[in-house]
Amino acid sequence: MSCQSFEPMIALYVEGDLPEQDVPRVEEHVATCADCRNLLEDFEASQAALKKLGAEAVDGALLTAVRAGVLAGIDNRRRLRWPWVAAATAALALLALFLAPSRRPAPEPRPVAIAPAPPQVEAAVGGAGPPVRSRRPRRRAVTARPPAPQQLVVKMLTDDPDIVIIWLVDQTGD
Amino acid sequence: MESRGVALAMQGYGLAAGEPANTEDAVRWLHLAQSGDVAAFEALLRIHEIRVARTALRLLANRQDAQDAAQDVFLRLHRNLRHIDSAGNLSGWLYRVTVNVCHDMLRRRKNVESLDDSRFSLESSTEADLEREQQRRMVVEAVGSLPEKERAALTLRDLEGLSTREVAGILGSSEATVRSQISAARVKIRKMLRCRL
Repeated sequence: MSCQSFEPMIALYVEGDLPEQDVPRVEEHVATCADCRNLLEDFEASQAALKKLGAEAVDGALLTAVRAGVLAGIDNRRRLRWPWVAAATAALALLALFLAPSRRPAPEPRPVAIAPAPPQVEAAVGGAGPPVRSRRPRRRAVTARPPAPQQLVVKMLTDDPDIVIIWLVDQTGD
Repeated sequence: MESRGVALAMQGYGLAAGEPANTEDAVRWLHLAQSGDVAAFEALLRIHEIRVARTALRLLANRQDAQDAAQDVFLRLHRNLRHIDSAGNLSGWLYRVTVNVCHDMLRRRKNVESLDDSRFSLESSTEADLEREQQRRMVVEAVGSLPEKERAALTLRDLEGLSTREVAGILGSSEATVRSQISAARVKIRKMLRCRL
């Protein structure tokens, strides 16, 4: 194995990055090769220069500028976001109003007159003689007048044209 | 100008810039920041800002770009806080996003040589200071001349001191690939510095 092929391995060995199985091979070679020992020293010097750069403190003014820029950016984002949130909320509210069913009260159903069961009607009874079979008044027609708002009037006609039954029902319960 | 949030973070959590925090504090701040506490977010920012800014400086070799990149990284963190499941993952997440943001910036500014650095100062008066500054700039330029992937691997391993396994996790590569990249980078750096020094 030539010295040139050791260079990439020495570049890793100098910082302990060489895989363990390769370490003995590099160490044995460096122990016997002056050129590679010099190469290793070169690497140590260049790595030291690199480390010095890495150890430098970062300019405080740069950090302050970064911090100020980040916080201003966060602040701007929040300010920009609120008008959008407000606009979106308003748009949703309008949409909800538009889509919601009407809340006007539905018209009440018209009142329905319920005809109660007709009363028994006794026919006029004559003097003596065989008892006249009572006749049930035949309802010929039952008309329900359009009721007054508080009164139900039921007019019943019987077979006898002289007899008319008028039934008044007070719906108020008075 | 110190913002109200900065003052809150300093008073509320008593953390100076770059001061390391213990794990419990970091977890607490992460949870508070996730619930919208800006002062807690700033405490997290102060823990991690040095690493993010230093990595961006080394990858971009430009102070203004590094500042923009670091700001972008922390704003991304703020937007994605709910996706960070533990304080332990935060460093890795930040390094990964920093590398990606810097790579995007490098691609945008292709062919633009920009190797100015934050610490370069003509005020270095003595001969020794000037020599040190010159050597330092050589190292900065040598790192800046590396291909993107080798520069990222070398920066994370040799300048940030992460292990090859950690670097592999951050870059989404295998450990063998990372070893190959840092070996190639060190060989190039050594050659460049030997020629110049």
